[in-house]
Formats: sequence, structure tokens, C-alpha cells
Amino acid sequence: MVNLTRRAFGIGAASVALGALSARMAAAQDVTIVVNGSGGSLAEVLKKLFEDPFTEQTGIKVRATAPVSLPKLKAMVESGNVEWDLTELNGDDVVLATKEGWLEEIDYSIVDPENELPEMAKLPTAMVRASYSTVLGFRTDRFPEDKQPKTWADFWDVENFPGPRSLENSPKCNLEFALLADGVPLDELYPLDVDRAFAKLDEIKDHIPVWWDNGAQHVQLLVDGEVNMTSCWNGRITPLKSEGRPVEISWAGGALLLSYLGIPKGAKHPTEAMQFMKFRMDPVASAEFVKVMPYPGFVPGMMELLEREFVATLPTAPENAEQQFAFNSSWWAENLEEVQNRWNEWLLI
Amino acid sequence: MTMRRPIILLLLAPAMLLVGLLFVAPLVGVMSLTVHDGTSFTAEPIRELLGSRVALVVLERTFMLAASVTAICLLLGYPAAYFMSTLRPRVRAYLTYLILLPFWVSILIRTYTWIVILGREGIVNTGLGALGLAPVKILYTNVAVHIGMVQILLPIVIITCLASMLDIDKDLMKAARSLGASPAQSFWKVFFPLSVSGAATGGLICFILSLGFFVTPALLGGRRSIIIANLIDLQVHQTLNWGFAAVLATALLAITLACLGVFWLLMRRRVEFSGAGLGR
Amino acid sequence: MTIPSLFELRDGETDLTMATKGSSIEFRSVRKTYGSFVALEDFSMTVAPGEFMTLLGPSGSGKTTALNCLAGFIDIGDGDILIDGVSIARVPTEKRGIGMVFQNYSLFPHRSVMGNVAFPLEMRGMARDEVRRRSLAALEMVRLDGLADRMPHELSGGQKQRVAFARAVVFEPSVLLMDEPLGALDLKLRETLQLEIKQYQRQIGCTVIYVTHDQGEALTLSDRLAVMDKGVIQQLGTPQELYDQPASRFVASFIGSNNILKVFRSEGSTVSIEGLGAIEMTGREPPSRGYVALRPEHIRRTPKGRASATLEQAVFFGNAIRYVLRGTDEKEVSFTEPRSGAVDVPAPGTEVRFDFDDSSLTYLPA
Repeated sequence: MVNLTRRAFGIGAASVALGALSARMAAAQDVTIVVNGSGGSLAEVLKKLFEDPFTEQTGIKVRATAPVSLPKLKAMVESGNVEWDLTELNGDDVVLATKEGWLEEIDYSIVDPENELPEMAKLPTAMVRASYSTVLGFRTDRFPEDKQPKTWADFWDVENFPGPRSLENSPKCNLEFALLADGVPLDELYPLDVDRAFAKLDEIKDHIPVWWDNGAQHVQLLVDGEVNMTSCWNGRITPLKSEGRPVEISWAGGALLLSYLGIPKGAKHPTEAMQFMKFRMDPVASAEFVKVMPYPGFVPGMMELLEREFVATLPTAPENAEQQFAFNSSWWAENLEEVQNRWNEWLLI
Repeated sequence: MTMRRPIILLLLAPAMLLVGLLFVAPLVGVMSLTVHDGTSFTAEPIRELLGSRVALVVLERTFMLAASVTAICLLLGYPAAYFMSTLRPRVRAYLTYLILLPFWVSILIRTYTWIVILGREGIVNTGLGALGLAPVKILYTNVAVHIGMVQILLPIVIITCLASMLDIDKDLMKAARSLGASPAQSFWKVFFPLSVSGAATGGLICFILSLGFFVTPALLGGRRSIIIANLIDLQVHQTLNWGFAAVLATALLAITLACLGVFWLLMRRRVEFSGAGLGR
Repeated sequence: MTIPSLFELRDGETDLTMATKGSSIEFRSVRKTYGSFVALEDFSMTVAPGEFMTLLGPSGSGKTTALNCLAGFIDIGDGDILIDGVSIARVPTEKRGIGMVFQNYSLFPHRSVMGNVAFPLEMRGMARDEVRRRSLAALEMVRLDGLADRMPHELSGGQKQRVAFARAVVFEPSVLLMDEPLGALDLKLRETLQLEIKQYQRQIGCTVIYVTHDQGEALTLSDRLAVMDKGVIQQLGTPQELYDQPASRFVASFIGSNNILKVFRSEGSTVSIEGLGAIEMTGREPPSRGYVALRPEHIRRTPKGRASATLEQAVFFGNAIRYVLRGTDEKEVSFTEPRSGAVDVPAPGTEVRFDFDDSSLTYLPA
């Protein structure tokens, strides 16, 4: 258990804010904000740690919806019928949505009045909610103890690391992995050499019986023994490990990705949504959340509430972070359509 | 007693309104995306379709898959329906319940079940292993897609075939026998021609449903099992290229309608010719 | 070499093959049960070549079961059936050479009239021209050659029946089975077709087994008929025999209309009969017990009649009047009086005296 220190509660700041908020409570009584997330078991945790306490404090009710979907955002904004007040977004989704003008500017004087968040967490139209990694995951029981796969070069090496593999059915990250396997250093990935990446992908294509579409699927593939290794989300594998399953991840060459919160253009309650964004930065609740779902963000003061051994399993732990590359959302937003079309042609024909 | 026309129209109004609002309007919306990008008319999506090798390959693949699934469903379903048509009504009713039972389970769950059964370490391969046989690779191949789709569509084909078979007067087969036809002849000369329209209807339903399949090829197939619905999904969710998605959907719709038209023409000709008997 | 089809013979022409055209049929103690239900019990009869035999009975009496055993649609249970002296127990339907006309016609809906009639010839592998010639001849016989290209659903009931008949005989079977073939038609058409069927049968010469529950039809058509009830042949004989000498109350009441009257007691030449009262019999020995049957047409109104009863109603039949009387014992007795010239019809409620010849009484067992 983590000690609940006075500092953790942030009593000082919170109590001031509370005073201001309680004045507004009468007015906010009937307001319900719609917060769109990934759904699933995570929604329960979010409700318990953030949404219910937020309603208790402000009187603003929260309705959670799912799933995260850029096309839905597009449809809402373009039709003028905006249901969501706040939605989770992937990095390249943020770039694209901002370019298309589907997101409201965020007023950080409401979200981060004390200016505690690091600058990299604060985009004009979105705030970093979480960080996660797409890494190499494998079955420990399928390889000799002294010869477990570590790098993407190992992933490509079907002689020494035999067995079926899986990758995501998307060019994102896969091009990077291919280039890493081909010897490109971590810090020289971008801009991606697309031709070289596809050439390298050609080598592995026939060893990949299945291309996964979502997180649940890559978990199933590993657990069922359908593949011996796959690219995967770190947060999906950690719980499997603690269940005692013979699975492991390697941080080497992983893609460090950020997940954001943003307000759709034309949202009905942007101010209340930003209040909720601020609430989501509560370090105690965030620490509890990370213990369930190891996707830490940049919540100030949260890491200090977690045990050292646990922090070491997080993607942002320094020893893990230095082995990974930062996924470049801007490059992808810029090149997605062209690369995706090439990917489809490469994969489907 | 017949109702007067205005009353009939009044009674139909809610249903027509529902269809108009929830089906026709969105459909027109989708189709308009193929020539209009929201601000002005454009030929871009259609040009993109004709220029896209992926789209054409996947369209062809979709139709080949639908055709082979339909063929398998008919080959399995017709004899099953025939067998059922010979049973006593009570036994037949029980069998019908059994056949319809899978409809209580969602397609998604049934598809996932095939993963468990056909997987590399699934029930089939575990069984083969226990017998000392080499494992087979079924999951994530077209074979798995066929198995999954046939399992879902077969009941529909059986029930459609059965319905038309039960309409056939059993005395006709007796009559054929008394007129000198062997059991095989009475089947091929009398029962089969009379049941073929029901079987064709079942096949058509199966074919059209196959064209729109999504989950089964996505979960059981490999990369070459992706069909048109999956490609449309990709355009909607990944590339946000809705014009292209709309043109793919419209192409699918157009080809489906064309199939219906051909079917209708064939059936009409059949009815015209079937009488000829000797005169042919 | 072409052998002329039977249908191509004109009336009056004699064909030597005709006499041998029909087969003999013999049922030997056939017994057929379904669970505890006995459909046929000790069913035996012999049908002569060319004979028109009718199985007459109410539904469930076993007549259709007997027909189906003969046609081969159901297995012969115990016993045996022989055609021309040869057992057919192990011969499949299509090899028995039996033509059959079904109650609901059972025309093939996907084949034209011609296609239907041609079917049995096609099954026999006959050459195309020959099939066409013979089919047309059969259709000519039933006067439907003009409708050869019609589809069954375009035909009237009578036309369908004629097609079914033509189809059943086109291959010149030696045995023709007909299962209530006129059941679905209206009365007028039935009468017309009855005559036609009889005529065709004479022309073709095949042995016919005809199943019906219509006693009038049975009397009109049959050379002999078997009255069946509860899976058992109650009586077998010519129509006249069965009409005049019914052997049981069932047969007496099933064939024609009849007054079935209980015999109470007899003393010397006087017998007490239900509905008639005490009758002094002079012509023959009175029955001592059981029943008597008295046909309505054998009763006549006469002031000196031996019996009397109250007139309940007189029904006008056109060529006759049917009187319904009620005796003192409340038993109903009815009789028919031909209308020749003016007849004074008594008013209901009047006491009517009537009489009959003793010889017209049929004595029936209890």
C-alpha cells in the first residue's frame, strides 16, 4: 500500500479549488458531461477513481461512453451533433484531428492552474493522459532459457527463434520495427525510410499467419499459443505475467506512445470537461489507476506514490524509456494515407 | 372484405417512414459520398476505386468466397433438408429446433469458438497430437473462414430448402414410382426440379449474406481472407477515407443487386420452360 | 415394328390382345398393423383379369391400405399378394406394372400435360417419337389433345382428372388402381366422369381396383365390390347381390338407403318388428330374431296395409315423394313413392297405412 501523505492529497491547492467550485455547484447541478474512453473493465476503474468522486465534489455528473473512435469524432463534428464533451485520443489522431479542426483549444489556466504539468504533456488541443508502449512480447516456454528473443532483429531471425509470429494489422510501429531489425539506430528512425522498411517486412511476411487488430487479440494469440511472439501493448502483458502465464516483454526497440484527452469542437460543456481533465491529474487516484493499468502519464507527484519495483515495470521508467523510441505522431499523421494504402496493397494482395 | 386503399396506406405509413428514415436516407447519404465530398461534386472516389488494385482484388475475392461458401452450404444443406423432409413432423420439429439453436449464440462467440477448436494448440490439433499425427494449420487460413461461415449460414440454407421441400406433395413421388420411375429417377425427375427453386432461394440468401460478412473473415482468416466489408471498415476507421469507403459499399450494393437481377431472370425463364417437358 | 396403341382402336374394333390385357390379382390373408391399430385383417380376395373391383368403405376401413400394399407404397405385412399368380411382395413399385390414379391427381406441377402423360413412357426408355405418339393418343382418348402444352395449374378439376387417368394408362398397365379419383369433384362432373372411366376401362381392358367411400359410385362402376369396415371385408359380391342381399346390418345400411328394423319376437306366423308393429306373414317363414332390412322403394301406401304410422313429413323428390313416418314405438320408417300422375299427399300428422311384400324383407343377423 502507498502511504496517503498530506502532500499527496494536495490539500492546499485542492481546498482552494473546492471553495471556488462549491459556489458553482448550484449552477452545475444539472450538467452531465459525456466522457468517451476505451470502455471495458477499465471503465469501472475510471468510474470509481475519477468519475464518482468528481460528481461528489462538483455536482457535475459524468456519463462514460466507448469506444475511442476518430471516425465518430469526425462524424460528430461534421454533423454538428457533438455528443462527447471529452474523448481519449491517440497521438496521431490528435495531429490529424487538430489539423482538421475537430478539437477545441484547451484552457490550461483551468486544467493546470498551478502550472505543474510538464510542457510536453500540454498540446494546445490535447493533454497527455497516459503513456504506453508497443513492445516485443513472447512466450518464455517456447525458447530455451538462454535464448529468449530480445530485439526486433531476433523477431526477424526465424532460424534462431522459430515459430509463428504476429504483428498488428497496421503500418504504424511495424515500419519502425522493421527498420530497427534492419539495423537503423533508435535515434535515426524518423523520417522513416518506407521502401527499406517494406523490403525488410517482405522477409517476415510469410512467418506471420495472423495480423492482430486489437489488444484483446494479441493477448489471445500469445495465451493460446497461436504464436510464439508478437508485438503487443505492455499493459496487456503485465497482468498475464502476474497471473503466472509464461509470457514476457522486451523493452528493447519498443515504441513509446502517448494517449491524450481532447475536447471535440462544438462540445456542449467544454468548461466542465476541462474541470474533469484537471481532476484526472489527481496524483493519488492516478497512482491507484496505474497500479491497475500500467499506463502512466505525466501526473505530477504520482511516481513518488508508487513502489520502486513497480515503477521499474512502467514504460516511462528511465531504464525502460531509454531502450525505446518515441513514436512520432506528426510523421505518421503526415504520411498515413499514402503508407496505409501501400500497406494494404502489400498485405492484402 | 378488403380494406380501402387510403386505410392500407395509412397502416403502411409507420413502416415506410421507418424504412425511409433509417434505411433509405442513410443509404442515399452513403451513395452521395461517392460523387460528392461534402462541398462539391467529385469523381475522385470512383477514380480511386478503378485505380485501386487492392479494391478490385478484394472485390473479386469477396465474390469467390461467397460463391464457394454458398456452394458448400448447398451441398451440405440440401441433403440435410431432404433427410429432414422425410421425417415425421414431430422428429422434424425437434431437429429444426436443434438447427436453429446456434442462432441464440452471437456470431462473434461462435467465431471465437472456432479459434479455440481450430487453433495451433486447439482441440483439433491436440486430438491429432494425441493420436500421434502431425498438427494441421487451419486457423488463419481460408479453410477456417469457410468453416466459420458455413457453420453460420448452413441453418438458413437448410431451413429455406426444407420449407420448399415440405410444400412438395409426397404423393408426387409415389405417383412417379407407380409410373415406372426408380427411387433415383423419382427424385431427379420430380423432387429435385420442384425443390430447386427453394434451394436456389436459400443459395441466394446465403450468397448475399456472405458478401457482407465481416467478423468471421477478420477473426478466422489470414491476410488474404480480408473481404470487402473489412476493407470498407479499414477505410472508415483507419484511413478516414469515407468517399472511398462509400464507393466500395456502393459497388458491393450494385453487384449484389445485379446478382439478384440475374437470379430473377433465371427463375422466370425456368418457370417458362419447365412446362415444356417433351416439347423441349 | 410399331404396335398400335390400345387407345388408337375405334369402338367396335376387336383387339385380340385385349382379353389378355388385364391381370388377375390375388390377396392372400394380408394382415397389416400399425402399432396396436389393425389396418387390414385376413384380407383375401381374387380379382379376375379385366374385372372392375371396388373397395367400398368408410374412412379408416382399410381400403386404401389394401391399395397401397398392392401398389407397393407400403410393405405387405403378413400374407401375400399375387399378380397373375406371381408374388409381388419383393417387387418394387415401379416394376409391378401398375397404373395409379390418385385422389388429388398428383400431376407433376413442373411438367406440361404432355410432359405428365409422357412421363411413364420416358421412364421406360421409349424412343422420343413413340413417346409423343402414344402420349397424344392417350390424350386424344380423354379428349384433351388440344391442351397438351398447358400446365397442370391451368386446368380445371375434371381436366386434371382426365390427365391423371391418361398418364396412368398410357403405358398400358395390366392393373389400374384408382384411389377416390373423383373425390374432389362436384356431383355433376363425378357422374360424367364415372361413365367415362367405365368406358375407358372397357376399351383398355385392364383390371381395375377402385377405392371409394361413395356407394353410389361403387354400384355404378363395379363388376364386383367389397364392402370393408375395420380392416375386414364385410361382404363381397356384385352390386346387385350387395344391394339385394346384404349380409349384415353394416352392409345393408352402407349401400343404398334402408330401414333397418329390430325383430322383437315371433309367434307362429306373426312377428313383432320395430316401427312396423305386429305383422302377420304369409309368404315366408318370419324371422325369429335379429333385424330386418326393408328398402324404401319396397314399401307402398295402401288403406289395407298391415302396418301404420304417423306421417312426420313428406319430401318432394321430383320423380318421387319420400315419406318419413314415426311408428308408435317412435322408430322412424321411410319409404319412397313414385309420382305417376296426381298423387294425394296426406298432411303431416295423419295416420298412414302401408304394406310390403314379405319377400322384400332381408333378414339380418343380430
